[in-house]
Amino acid sequence: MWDSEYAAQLLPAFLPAFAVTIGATITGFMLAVLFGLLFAIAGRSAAAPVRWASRSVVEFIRSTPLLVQAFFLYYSVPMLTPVAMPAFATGVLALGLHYGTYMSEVFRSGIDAVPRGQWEASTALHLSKRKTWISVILPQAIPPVIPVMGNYLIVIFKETPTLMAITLVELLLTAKTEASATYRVFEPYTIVGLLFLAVSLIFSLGIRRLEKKWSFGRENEKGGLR
Amino acid sequence: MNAPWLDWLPMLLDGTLITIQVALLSAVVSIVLSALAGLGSLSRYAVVRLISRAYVELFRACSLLVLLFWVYFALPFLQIELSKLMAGVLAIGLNIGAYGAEIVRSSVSAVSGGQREAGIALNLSGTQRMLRVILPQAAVRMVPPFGNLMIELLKSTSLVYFITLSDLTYEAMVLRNNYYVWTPYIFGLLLLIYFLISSCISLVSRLLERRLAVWR
Amino acid sequence: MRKAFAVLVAVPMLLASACGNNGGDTDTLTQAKKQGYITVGFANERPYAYKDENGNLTGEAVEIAKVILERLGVKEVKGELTEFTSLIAGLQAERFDMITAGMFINEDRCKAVKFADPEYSIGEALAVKAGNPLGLTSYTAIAGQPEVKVAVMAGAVEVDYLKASGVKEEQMLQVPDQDAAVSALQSGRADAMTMTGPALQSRLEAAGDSSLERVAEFEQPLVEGKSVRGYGATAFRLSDEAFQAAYNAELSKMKESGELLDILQQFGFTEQELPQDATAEQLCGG
Repeated sequence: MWDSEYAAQLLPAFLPAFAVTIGATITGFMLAVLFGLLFAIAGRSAAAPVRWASRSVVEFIRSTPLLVQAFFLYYSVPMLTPVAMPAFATGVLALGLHYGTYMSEVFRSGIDAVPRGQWEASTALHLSKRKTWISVILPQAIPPVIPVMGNYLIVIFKETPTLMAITLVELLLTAKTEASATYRVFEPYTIVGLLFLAVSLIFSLGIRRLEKKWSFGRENEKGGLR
Repeated sequence: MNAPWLDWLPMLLDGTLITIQVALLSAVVSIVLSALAGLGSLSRYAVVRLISRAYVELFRACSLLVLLFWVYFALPFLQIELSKLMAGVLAIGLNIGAYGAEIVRSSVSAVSGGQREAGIALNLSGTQRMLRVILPQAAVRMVPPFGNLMIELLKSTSLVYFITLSDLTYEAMVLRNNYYVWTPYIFGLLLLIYFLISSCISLVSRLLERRLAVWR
Repeated sequence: MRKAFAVLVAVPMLLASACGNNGGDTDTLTQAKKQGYITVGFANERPYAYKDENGNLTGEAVEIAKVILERLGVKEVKGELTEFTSLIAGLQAERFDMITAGMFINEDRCKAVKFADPEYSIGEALAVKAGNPLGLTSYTAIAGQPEVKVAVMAGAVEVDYLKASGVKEEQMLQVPDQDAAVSALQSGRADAMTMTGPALQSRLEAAGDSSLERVAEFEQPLVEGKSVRGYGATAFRLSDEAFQAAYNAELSKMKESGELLDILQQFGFTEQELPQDATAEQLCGG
């Protein structure tokens, strides 16, 4: 059933693919943090239209599949605009936007936990809006939510295979290509499955350590673990 | 030029029905698994606790798409042959069920404590306590996160496209093959349809929440 | 003469094997006749096998198969949509009983499936940006410009032809379906796209984009010094020899009567694309 020799042959092909998967995970995560902050801050804007627009965008993105969003960005956007990004850039943008909406909820809970007095104090000190956010609110809002953010790093990692639909040559697509060349599917898919399992288990163990160490025993965001 | 929207409707409708079918079936599988593994995590038997925890940890760590590929393409090599529909429902159900189990576990343990003691004081048996006292209260807490989870489930049904099950996403790709120049509209419409179905799910979840809140 | 001989041999063989299989009940054709339908695997590729705008299964390979199967006593053909790269695995796993995707016969695939005789024969084609700014007229021309990218369907024979012509793996953008290749060329993610002639023609017509053009003076690729021509055929499981023989017998009748050409022409093929006397056996290198 299991052909170790064949499995060993596969490894050289998986190495660069693993690098792509990790690269997409990290870039996607950084974009998600960035978009998450933008959505969270815009969601608290004093201007009602900005608030409304930000919340609608978040709602829409959260309610539709990442796969279809990736298709839209990869196939539709170049036909509507002169912008045609390659698969990697499109893929991480899709991941960033999609998980940015989840991240904005995480940040929102962190921001809400900052005592009202801090806002009032900033006003009393005549700090600008920008200064208030950057020097007062965010430094207090972000550290408590870092473990939850870490969970999303794992979630994004697990979602990268979706990007094979837009020709990103990551682990799963590599497994598929190998399988179609040899008609042996068991080894490539099993190796990739175990790889994903191992990486995300190790990661979540690390995050749990982090959580304990910081002793923020907060519950995870509702339903937000995917 | 106007997009031939009307010509697309029959195929999109077919696809929507398949998507809903996959979603409903995997919802059933995942809810059953959530209840079993969620309550199992709180069982007084160590073996049951262990199995429940192993299931939750394993399937939460698993990438759904990789799992789907494995179930559909690799399992036949172990002589387990599933149809596309079964493979999709099983993979999605197993994956979402692991998240649902955590919701069940945390909601039940949140109401336990004092309520449990009150139940004992009233001379209720273990089963009675669970069914009459703890579960109804836990259910109220579970509804909103389960509503979110079902939206996640709906979104993940789009992955069955990869095993060429003719769901909404796949039918849109077939449409694209027939109406290539309308690609942007086809994908735009596809996003919109998913958004509508998601909105229905959150509506139902909110109604249910209100219903249950009355009992509280 | 040879064909008539083949029929003479095939029919008794089929009868013999049908009788022989009465007990086993593993013969796919017998089973299909009994249940009244057969399931075929296809990959949604024009013009070979695809779902049309009404969701119906059609295409050159499918229509030929429908005619033959009806004559063999199988009334209905059900389609199982599968990605091209998974067709052979799906056939082996018995998710469907034959592949009607206009799949090219090649030696590797012959080890995994049993091909019927070819139903058409075609060459490759290349499409580029209008005016062919990079002067790409062959696969070797692509190999000569390492920065050029070419979109090609994953798992298709073109990948091997490109490799044999010296095109590097990094130059290939392997896409999951035909439309993805068109998108790649339109958006500039690739500088060229290649697929079989009729497929490429159908996609360019569908795109209706004047910024793309088919390379008229395209040189067919050479593999080991020989000009390649693809021969597309229906495929069966290796064990379905009797089924394949019966299918071949009917196919050769259709070739002779001109019925085959009629069907092919409905899907944009011409007389030049008839398979002539090529057989699966020759093409498998047997």
